[in-house]
Amino acid sequence: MSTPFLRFLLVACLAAGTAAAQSPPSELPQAEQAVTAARQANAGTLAPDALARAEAVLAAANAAAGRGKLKEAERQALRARRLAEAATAEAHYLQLKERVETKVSENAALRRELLVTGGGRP
Amino acid sequence: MKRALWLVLLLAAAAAQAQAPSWEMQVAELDARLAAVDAAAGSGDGAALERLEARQVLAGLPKTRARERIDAYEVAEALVRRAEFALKSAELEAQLLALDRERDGILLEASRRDAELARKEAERMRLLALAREEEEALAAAEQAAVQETQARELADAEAKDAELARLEEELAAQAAAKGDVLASRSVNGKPAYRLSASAFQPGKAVLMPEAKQLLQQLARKLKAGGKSWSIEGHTDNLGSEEGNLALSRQRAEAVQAVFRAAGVPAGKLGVKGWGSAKPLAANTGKNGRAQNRRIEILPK
Repeated sequence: MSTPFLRFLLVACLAAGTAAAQSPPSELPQAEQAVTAARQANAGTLAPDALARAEAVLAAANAAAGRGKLKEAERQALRARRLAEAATAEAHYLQLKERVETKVSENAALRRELLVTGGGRP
Repeated sequence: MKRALWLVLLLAAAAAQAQAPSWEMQVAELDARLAAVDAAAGSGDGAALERLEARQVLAGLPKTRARERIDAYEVAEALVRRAEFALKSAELEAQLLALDRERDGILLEASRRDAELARKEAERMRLLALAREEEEALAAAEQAAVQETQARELADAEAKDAELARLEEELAAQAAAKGDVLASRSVNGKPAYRLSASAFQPGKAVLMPEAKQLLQQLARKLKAGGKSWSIEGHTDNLGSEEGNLALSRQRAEAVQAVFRAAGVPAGKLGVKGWGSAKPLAANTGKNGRAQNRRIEILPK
């Protein structure tokens, strides 16, 4: 292999490496989507601590990205995403729990009204 | 001096490490939590994806480098927590379905019960109507029977009255023809008496002795009965009406005098003179006129 070709290869590799290092972390948008989903699942009310932790970690990921520490940003974004997903799951669970409790009460009232007292239809 | 300082630092680090839970213990704790989730899920596929992701992350956890352990632990714990909530949510979803079915069952049961109640009520109303109809029919039949009986009894009574009246008329006619002085008869089922004109001297209000004797016998009977009587005199249409009225009244008074003398209370005896106003027969013939000249002794 000729020396000019080796030089060209070396330069190309360095350029590619630099470009890869400068591209924004792919986890960041996913983390932001996960946090948004958690908010839409009403995690702000139902799982406030879990959502706050996810938001804090996402903020740290964004800050790291802003400082050019892309690997750190990637890692924090992954954490934020997982934390947000857990917050969403918790909020979803609590919503379901409330629905179940409501439905149990409704059924009991319905049974009392229709089968015990013989009232009219709801 | 330096050695002592290093020794102190090493001891402090060792103490700190001894107090903090070891990495292996933290991983084991997460493993146990995930195992609990797997056990709760059983052979079902509840939260399968979440459990799988958590298991994959936990599998790589022991090899994590020390400086990355805090972040890795947080991610793994979040995944285990997500799996726990996902499984609980799956259970709640199943419970919601069961509750929906329960609600449907309650409504269905209530509908069945309502239908049964409505059926029973309809049956009750039908039986009531039936009973009412039967009652009305029975009452109508009873009333018809009563009316029929009453009508039959009335007809019988009327027939008897008519028969009696006919017999009385016949007897009166026979008596008049024969010159019988006193005849008994029935008026509306009550006894009454008729005194023919032969009881008096012709054209006068003086009783013949035979008639007076008969009236005295009758007076005993009337006195025993205790009823009130009306003594009514009648004439034929010969002569003036004023004369007939006076004669009919005087003859009635003559009869009353006999009754009073025999002990019948005066308050129980009324007197009237009708003249020729109420004839029994036509005044065209001798027999008819003889029938019309009479004294009626009627119950009041």
